[in-house]
Amino acid sequence: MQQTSLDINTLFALGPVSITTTVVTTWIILLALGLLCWLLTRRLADRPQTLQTALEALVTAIENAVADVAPQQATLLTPFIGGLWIFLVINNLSGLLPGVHSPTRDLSATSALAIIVFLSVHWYGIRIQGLKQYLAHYLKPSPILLPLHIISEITRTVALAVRLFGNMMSLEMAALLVLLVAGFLAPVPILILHIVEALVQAYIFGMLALVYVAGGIQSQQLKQQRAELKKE
Amino acid sequence: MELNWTTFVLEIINFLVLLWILKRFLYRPVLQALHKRQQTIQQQLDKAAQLEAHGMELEQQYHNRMESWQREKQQARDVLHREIDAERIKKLADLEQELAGEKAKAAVIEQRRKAEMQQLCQHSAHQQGARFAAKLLSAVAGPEVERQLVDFLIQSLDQLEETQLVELRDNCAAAESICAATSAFALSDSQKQLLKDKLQTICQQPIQLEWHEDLALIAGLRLTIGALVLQLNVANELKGFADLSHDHRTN
Repeated sequence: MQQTSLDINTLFALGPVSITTTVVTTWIILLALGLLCWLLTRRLADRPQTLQTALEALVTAIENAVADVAPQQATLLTPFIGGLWIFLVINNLSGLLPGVHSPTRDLSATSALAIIVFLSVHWYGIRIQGLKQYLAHYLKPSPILLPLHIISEITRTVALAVRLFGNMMSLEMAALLVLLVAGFLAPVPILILHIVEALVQAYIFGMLALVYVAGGIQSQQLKQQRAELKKE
Repeated sequence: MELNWTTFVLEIINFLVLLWILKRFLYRPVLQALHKRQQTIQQQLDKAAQLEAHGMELEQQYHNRMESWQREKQQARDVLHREIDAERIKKLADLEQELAGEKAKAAVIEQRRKAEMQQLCQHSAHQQGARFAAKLLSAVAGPEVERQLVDFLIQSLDQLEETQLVELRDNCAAAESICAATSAFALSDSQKQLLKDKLQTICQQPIQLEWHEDLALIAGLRLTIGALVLQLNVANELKGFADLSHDHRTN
């Protein structure tokens, strides 16, 4: 792994499977997160201490944020959306560590997350509404709009992946360029911008995923409610 | 900027593993802890609500009881005031009655004190009068006065009532007809004989008279017939005068 290179390096290969730095970094993050969660939640007390209070505040904040957008599906969506936020925040901020590149500067990783969001929208929609009713909403208000619906689904997924990748990639590139041109302490403001951008991009990605998932679910629910009102 | 399908697939798997880890080690325990705490808090709230309701009920009972006690207290106070007023009126009446009694008693005592003072003054006056009369009579009394007194005695014996005569005769008989005659001065023989005859006539029996002289009599005569003593002398009269005031005071 070369510190000045923006390319994704392959650390080793298991036959046809090449293991890149992105994957290894993600594994390390998974391991650290799992260990941290296990340590923090193994002894939860009725009267919480500081760490437990902070942990509960984090979970509650995520749940409330999800509930603000999709109040009826908050319990169902919180693990997924919360997982996206936590994963992206740590992934984005990991680029600040010396010798570590953020996994989200890899288009393969952001595309994987975008595909997961794409699939999740349909998974939650079909799970709640059923396959037939969910697919039927692509034909409404008119079947003519089906191509536009399909294009919309594809473009917003691509946009999710490229937006996150572009921002994180550009941040690391800018920091590298400033470091090469200006010297040792000059990238500090860029690093501060990196922190802010990392948090903002994680929030945007997760919030967009939430909006996409909740939009599909609630649009179906609104139609069902209108139909029920008409029947009454 | 190229898509590595191996990385793409592994990242998908990594994220799914992450979701499992977070759900297993973060959301589930934290949400369970929160739910448990919410249940505990809800139980405490329910208990607090029950306690509050119970407290409100007790407070209402307390207020009702207080109002009842206030009414009972007011009634008891009214009764007490009435009893106190009645007792005061009764006490005042008793006090006035007792005061009137004390006034009457004081008036009686004062009246008695005045009467005693008056009697004392009278007695003193009698005593002084008796002493004055005794001194005066002692100076002026003599055989002539005594002779007149003996004559008066002889005349008075005729005027005795029948019961007195019977008593005189009985005493004379009891003394075996021995009588004593005491005078301040010596009597004449004629007076002695006249008196002896008179006594024998009255007593209807012979009498033996023994004659004595005593200047303490001042003037006059004292006849002793058995247990009966007949006094007609100045000393006895003065003594009787003084004793009269004393007897009157003691009565």
